Amino acid sequence: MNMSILRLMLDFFKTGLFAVGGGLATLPFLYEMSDTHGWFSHADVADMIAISESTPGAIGINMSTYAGFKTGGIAGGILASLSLAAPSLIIILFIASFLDKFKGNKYVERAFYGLRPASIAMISAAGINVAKTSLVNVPALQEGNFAAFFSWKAILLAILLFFAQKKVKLHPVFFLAFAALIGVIFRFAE
Amino acid sequence: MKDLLDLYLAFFKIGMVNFGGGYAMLPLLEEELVKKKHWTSMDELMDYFAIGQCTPGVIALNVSTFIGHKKKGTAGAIASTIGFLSAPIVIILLIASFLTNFADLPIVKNAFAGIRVCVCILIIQAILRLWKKAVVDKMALALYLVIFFLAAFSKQLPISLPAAGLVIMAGIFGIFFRREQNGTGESESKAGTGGSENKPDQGGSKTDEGESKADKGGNKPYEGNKKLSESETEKRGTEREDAGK
Repeated sequence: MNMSILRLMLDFFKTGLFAVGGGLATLPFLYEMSDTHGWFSHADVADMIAISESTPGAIGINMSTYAGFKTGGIAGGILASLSLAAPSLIIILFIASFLDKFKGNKYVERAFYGLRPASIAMISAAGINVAKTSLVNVPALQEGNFAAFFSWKAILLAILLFFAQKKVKLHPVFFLAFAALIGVIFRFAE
Repeated sequence: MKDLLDLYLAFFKIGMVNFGGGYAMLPLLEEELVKKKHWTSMDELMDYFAIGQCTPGVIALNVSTFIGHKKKGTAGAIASTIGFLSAPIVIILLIASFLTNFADLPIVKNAFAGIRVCVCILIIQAILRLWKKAVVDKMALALYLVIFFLAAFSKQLPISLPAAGLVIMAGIFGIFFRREQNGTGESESKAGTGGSENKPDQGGSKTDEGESKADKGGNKPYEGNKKLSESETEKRGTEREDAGK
């Protein structure tokens, strides 16, 4: 058992080191791991995508916890997740101390002039992706059913939340909980 | 020690309610760390996200590491990263042991269809608040539009560009473009970012060191800069194509 946990940690360390660009970038690595070691099946990965969408936390972390748990129990789950997090932790520490040193450097400032709009563009793209799965029904459009394209219940809730957030100063968690409740009451998934 | 515990707990809380991936974390960070605790500013968060996108690993973790490092060095970085990891690990361990069909339960599906709507709105509002600080002029707006288009519709495009590549190119573009209009551009950027953090004034001696180093390394591009800037737009095009391959 010890050997397989070591192997598992090594593989998730590798994934953490080479998967650039967030959670979904870990998927190819997970499929490869499934093929070579059989710690989990492709169907498990698909399930984990669904679970990751319905729990907090990034898919990479969730998958490493799940695979680690299957291989080595609770300790395995924790160790695999930490292995995934370790490489980026080290890399970010290097970059952070570099930035401290070069704070105010004109080349760094210029780079950030370009990085900031890029950062917002990425956030906007992420927003569009969430909107695609929550406010509209893309498959309906492909079938030519325009009436079913807009999820009216969801759009109404979105408008309500948008203005409520401007009026009422509450922690975002309250709005998330409210949206979850509305989703259950009005059966948003149907 | 108390600071480390503070960091751990703050990120534990955020990790517990961070639905919908790395960028959905932004509104939570804003509420907890910018407004309540004043540990960081929105400008800095934006920079962290940009770097987190083009370095390996999960974006949310990268941002947690950055903030922890800023607050309390290496120990702080570890405390906040583990804090962010804790809740998801526990939740997945619970689901893996007891609730194998968790994601298929109707109540879970309905609740998360609702939560996704809220995440969408939270993200839009975060973008609106960040807009003025990031999109400071027309060039930045153009950069935003190009990258947004390429990132949002990457699946519909014949060539798909990795998100990390897009962000890195934007940074490189910034370095070249800023040099082109030295006088006005520089003062604008100070006005844009100087509000919350007095970056240009901090640690004068360090800054000088940094600049002289960068100058030694970057002598050639500085000389050839004027020629480069003329063919800037062409160059940008070819760079993007290269990355596509």
